[in-house]
Amino acid sequence: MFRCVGVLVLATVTAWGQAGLGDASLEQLLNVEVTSVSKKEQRLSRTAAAVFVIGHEDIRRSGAQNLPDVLRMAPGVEVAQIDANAWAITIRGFDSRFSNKVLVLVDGRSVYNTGFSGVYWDQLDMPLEDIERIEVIRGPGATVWGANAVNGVIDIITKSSKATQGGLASASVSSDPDSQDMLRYGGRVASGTGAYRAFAKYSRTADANLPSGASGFDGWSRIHGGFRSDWDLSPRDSLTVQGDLFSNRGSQTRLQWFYPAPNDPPFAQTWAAAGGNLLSRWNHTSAGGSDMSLQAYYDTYRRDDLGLPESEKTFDLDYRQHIAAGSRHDIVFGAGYRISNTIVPPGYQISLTPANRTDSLYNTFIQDEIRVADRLWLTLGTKVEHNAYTGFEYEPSARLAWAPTERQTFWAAASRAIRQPSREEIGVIAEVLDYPIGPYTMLETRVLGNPRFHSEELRDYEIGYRTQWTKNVSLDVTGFLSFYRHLGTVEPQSPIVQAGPAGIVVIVPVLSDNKGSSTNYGTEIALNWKVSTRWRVEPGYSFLRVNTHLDPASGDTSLITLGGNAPPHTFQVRSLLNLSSRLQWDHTLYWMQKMPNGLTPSYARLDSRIAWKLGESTEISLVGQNLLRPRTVQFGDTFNLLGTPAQRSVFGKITWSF
Amino acid sequence: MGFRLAAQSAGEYELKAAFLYKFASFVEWPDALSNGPLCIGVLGQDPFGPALDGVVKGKSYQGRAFEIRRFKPGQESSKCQILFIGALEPKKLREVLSRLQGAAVLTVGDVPGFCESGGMVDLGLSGNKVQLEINVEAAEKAGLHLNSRLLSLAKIVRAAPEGGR
Repeated sequence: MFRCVGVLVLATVTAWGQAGLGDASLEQLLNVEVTSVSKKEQRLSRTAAAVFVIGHEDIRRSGAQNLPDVLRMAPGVEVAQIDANAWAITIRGFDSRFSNKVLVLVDGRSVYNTGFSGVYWDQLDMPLEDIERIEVIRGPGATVWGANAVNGVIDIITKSSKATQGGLASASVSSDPDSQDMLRYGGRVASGTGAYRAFAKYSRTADANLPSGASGFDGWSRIHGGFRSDWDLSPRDSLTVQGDLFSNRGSQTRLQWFYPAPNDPPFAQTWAAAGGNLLSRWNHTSAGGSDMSLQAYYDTYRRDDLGLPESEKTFDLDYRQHIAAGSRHDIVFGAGYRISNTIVPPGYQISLTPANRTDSLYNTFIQDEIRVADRLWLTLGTKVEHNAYTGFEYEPSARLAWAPTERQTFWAAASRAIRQPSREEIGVIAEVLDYPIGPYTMLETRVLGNPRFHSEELRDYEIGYRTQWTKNVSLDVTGFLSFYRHLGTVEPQSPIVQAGPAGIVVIVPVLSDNKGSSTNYGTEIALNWKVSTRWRVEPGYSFLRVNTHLDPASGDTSLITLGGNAPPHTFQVRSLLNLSSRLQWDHTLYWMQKMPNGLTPSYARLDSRIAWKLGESTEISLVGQNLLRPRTVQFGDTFNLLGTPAQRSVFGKITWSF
Repeated sequence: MGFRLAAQSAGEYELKAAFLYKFASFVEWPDALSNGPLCIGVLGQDPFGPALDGVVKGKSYQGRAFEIRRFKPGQESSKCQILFIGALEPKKLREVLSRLQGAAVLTVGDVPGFCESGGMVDLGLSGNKVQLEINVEAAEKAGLHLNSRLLSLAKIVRAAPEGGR
């Protein structure tokens, strides 16, 4: 199956465990492609893109308690904890709380918010036990995924409910004290043609301890429930229906103003987010081996964060068809429609105009994987998309994969991707700084959205090499050269002086614009070494150089800071050791160089997990995170949100299946 | 937005192990009322490794647990309901199959010409997918009833006449 129907990998359901295959229907089995070795590296042989797959076993053995910590294991993904409930996560640079160049999907549902361009990671608190795998695609994926898949795509795929039958309960408690409790149950209905599971999860994270002994006021709690059901409607048709509901609340420590100002003491504020989604997908396989997929979802949330209430409602319809035309062409095409409504009521500090806005997004795409020669594949495709802000956008790509032997693949790709403007860039009015500069005289800095804000554009060139060197060693190397244009900047305008009842206000308007560009290059290396049947070692390294430039007419200072939010060198190594068939001892060491803008110093992080299996149904594990230091600053402050250090913690977890 | 379309992939014998397990629900044996374990046997070289044991682990069909047994050529294997016959020389294969004639055993193989040699189900590959070939006559002779859904997905073939090419 690892057929890259999509850009890339869309296609894959790699990790069919043997139990998974046993649950497939006869028709599905007849549609399974045989790979010579059932290792993911082998299935990647035709994929001309930088892909890293995190499997469910990798997730379990990482000891991670949340999704951001899981993503750390993919080389080239930059994960930094801002405070206990907010993260800055990106791929290939431009990291921020609202990293806007990485598209994140959960079972085909986009969780990238169009109001502020970014992902609220706290809202993605599904049980990690339900994740089948996470496909991390570094580099553009826009030809298939569309706008905002600029620097990468993170595609989270949950298990079929057929694979989660019976009950599962887990509870963990840490020294902080944080806790996480989860209960899941799955069963079958309609004489085995349908399966379902439902879960509920409750988690609490304590406030961070600051070096001064004070509290970081960033603790939070969340409750998350959901279900998934999978039905075999006929030998050729399957239907999935799934949904989630969540409610999160916590506190954060913030400043009033986005930039340093006198008399702006930190204060704690509560935040809350709640929402839900419902998704349905129908797959149909035709006799000739072509297949079709029709998906619809509705997603909604309300959020009150940094004192700003917002709500978003999205309905999305997506159709895809995959056909094999002759022996040389493997074509996937599709079309989609999305309508989204965001409401940001006028606030004291930040407003969007209009407050209530509904936008439509239409797209269509086609991609053809052509077998040019026996072991040479050329994949050509483009997306054509129409958005409400910049009209038509084209996102073409050309990818070439050459597998001279079964065990190695060379690939190269050229692609264009765009990030479409957010509502904020188009229509924000934000007071970001306000302080007295004299008697009865205030200086106010006001950021204004720009209705003529362009899409940011990337032209990207990548090469890669993958090899299964020996039976026990595989290597994946990628190099990229990325040219960005029309990057977002904020441009100070001439001050305006206004006389008001309280005196004189000097307003410095700062207008959103696209006066930035950047030339980035780098490499990512992942090695997988099976030292023995009991011990696996996985080192990873990434290098990234960001060179941002401003138009001579620009007065922006934000882009260079954003561009500097990327450690040039990062290194990590995971070690997975089976001490016996019941005892596992796993470690991960990360090292991040300091950020070029000096925001954070270099740091190392060590996580360790020891797990003991008691019989068939119970596992007890003890996990230590951030073991090297009591506190580690991973990101620092970001505008008016104050960062808190990641805390050393040790927790115990028990998982019981029944 | 996007989602997966493509077929799945798996190791060849992981996949074939899943077929062996799956066949249990598409075949009726004359001893259908028995409640002993359902035996899946592997005769000759075992290509499955742990995959076959893995796929039936914890599974049952109509209340019957699965049991995996491995045989050397020449060993009595006719007590199994499903028997996978590993790669054997054509002559040896015919010998094994003729010894099983009349026994209520679903014989499965994947060597070219398996059905023509008198085997019932051939799991050979066509391209990189499994193409089912079934010798219905042989199955009927053994008193096995094959579900029509299984037959509809397979290519029906006949045994070559005795002593044929």
